[in-house]
Amino acid sequence: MAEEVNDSDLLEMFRVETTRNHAFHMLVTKYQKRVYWQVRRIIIDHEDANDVVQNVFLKVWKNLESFKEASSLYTWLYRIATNESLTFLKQKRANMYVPFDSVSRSLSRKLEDDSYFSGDAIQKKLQKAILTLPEKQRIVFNMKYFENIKYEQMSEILDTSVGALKASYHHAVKKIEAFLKNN
Amino acid sequence: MKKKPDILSDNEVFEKDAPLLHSISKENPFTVPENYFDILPSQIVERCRTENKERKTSVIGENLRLFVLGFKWRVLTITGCVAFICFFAIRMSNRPQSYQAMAQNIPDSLIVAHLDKNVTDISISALEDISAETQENNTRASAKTASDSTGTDQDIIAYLMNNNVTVSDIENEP
Repeated sequence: MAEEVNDSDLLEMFRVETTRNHAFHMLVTKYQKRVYWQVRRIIIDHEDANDVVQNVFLKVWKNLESFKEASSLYTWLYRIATNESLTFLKQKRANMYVPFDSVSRSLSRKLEDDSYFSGDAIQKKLQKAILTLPEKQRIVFNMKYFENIKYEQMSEILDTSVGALKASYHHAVKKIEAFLKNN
Repeated sequence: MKKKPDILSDNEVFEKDAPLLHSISKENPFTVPENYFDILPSQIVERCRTENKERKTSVIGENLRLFVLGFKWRVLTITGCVAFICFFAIRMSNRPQSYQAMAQNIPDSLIVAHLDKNVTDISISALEDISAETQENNTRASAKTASDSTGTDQDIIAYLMNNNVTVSDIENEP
């Protein structure tokens, strides 16, 4: 199975032209869910998340040959996924000609009639609370709260110090708690 | 010794500062279409292959475009050079006579007269002036008769030139 193949083997196979497509298929199979859910929590809408995920792996395809293994493959993938998600939101904001708040409100409205959201009322409220956070703080919260990613790994992905990440996460928790109390 | 408290662990944070958040299930509330993750890898690999092909085609197309563009520029450059050479050649053929050719067509008397004006050098422009003057005098002299003894100095010079009278002819005249 794809998940059993380690990253170095995948990279070696990718560098050989005859096994490149097969290696890439295995890489996508191995990481698709983690990448998808990370993107989906930021983008909210499934169709948009699907587009972003495809763009992420397209970027991986183009740049994997020159991947220097300074970080783990997963960290690298995660970084690309985060950046692509932020780029998507930025473009959405630019296309809407409205400030940041309205993008969050638009995503919040999507939750109301999203056929791919099966959470109960309190979970919907939590997602709306998360959407009130600034984008980067939202990413930090999602990574810590839902995926329990270690601060050290998060620091590599987001290129932010561990201390700053911890502070950001604790502030996010307080804001969400206040939102849940007041709404 | 009292231990300085570390930054709270996440569970401690939730229980103490965010009891409501702590009570909410962490279950993923989002869903995906059926079999989404089964077909996603193939879709992505296919898209990557298509992008690769398009990129190769566009590189070939770009090279062809550069070649055609380059060819156009080459043709333009060659045409420009040929036009310049032709222009230069025509201009050269219309240039005034060389210094020596010009000097040979001017009678000695005029050259002597010019030199008498304390001119130390005969420049090309001076020769051109003298040559122009000579032509002008020839034109005037042809309109007047040679027997007109009351003519001006210029008329005399014109006469002498038209009849190729040299200094030695005048000196030897009885």
